[in-house]
Amino acid sequence: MKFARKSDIIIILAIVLVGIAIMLGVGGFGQADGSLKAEIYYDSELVKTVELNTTEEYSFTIPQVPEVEFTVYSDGSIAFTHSDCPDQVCVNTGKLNKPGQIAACVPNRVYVKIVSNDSESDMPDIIISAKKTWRDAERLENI
Amino acid sequence: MTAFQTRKEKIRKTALLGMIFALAIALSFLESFIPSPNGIKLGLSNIVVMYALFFLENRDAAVLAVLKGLFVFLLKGAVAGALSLSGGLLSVTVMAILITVTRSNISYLLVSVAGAVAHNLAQFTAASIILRTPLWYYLPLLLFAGVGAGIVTSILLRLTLPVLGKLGLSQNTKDSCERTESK
Repeated sequence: MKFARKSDIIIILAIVLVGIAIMLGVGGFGQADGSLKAEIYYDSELVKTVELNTTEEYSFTIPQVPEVEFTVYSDGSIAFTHSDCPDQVCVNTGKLNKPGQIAACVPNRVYVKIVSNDSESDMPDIIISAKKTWRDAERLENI
Repeated sequence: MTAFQTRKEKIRKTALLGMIFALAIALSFLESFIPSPNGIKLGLSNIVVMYALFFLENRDAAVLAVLKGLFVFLLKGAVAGALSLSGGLLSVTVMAILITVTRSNISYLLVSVAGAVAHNLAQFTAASIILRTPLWYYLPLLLFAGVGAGIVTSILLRLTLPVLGKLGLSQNTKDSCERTESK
């Protein structure tokens, strides 16, 4: 067996091009635009939404997973700043500040998604906000 | 006609598998000291799996992948174990298929890159299933990381081949079987 062939370059380039195509398609790699918010999901359900236009840096946790700490920075970004998971992929993902970006902590089943505030009219957002309203109603009942 | 037919050779093979599994674990441990952005890893233990694929049998490479998954399961928990197992098994399957289909008429580099990319794709899929959302943002990074890691591990395997040859460990059992069969 040979170590490498000239034709390998074509296949490797093809994989890289597919990666670039997905990057362009998914977004989250371009410039930050408009007002953004971060949606925090636990077990695939939206549990918290934070606006990313704060002037003061602050950290918070969600009651479902108190071991995971998030920090919102004054530059309009959010990051996982602490987690008890073994791989620390969530923390290493770093600051998120563009729509489409996701940081996930698979062992804790938590992920943060950056969305633009302008995309309120999209179908999934309506469903999510309906779910949120329902959750708020439930919370009010508990009070 | 496979090599390692006699009892003595079977014992030798069991010992060899034990040693290379220990080597795979040692390499993953060593790797945890290399700082990496986004939790991207080189997959140094893939060198050992590739060695098993090239010079032992496909079954041995699959056994190594399963053992590694179980080890991660014990060390880091169920989720990390599941991710490691899915990555390892898809990686071995893809590499074994490529070697078989091309009848070893393929480069180390391409097998290595395909294995690393398959490993990352399996982890992307497993993580997306667990979180019940496609983690598209991670996919391009995982593809690029797979290509990079595949290139690095194939170079490292290439560098270790002469040493393995001196130790008499790089006798290609598959090639020799094919040769005897074709006679």
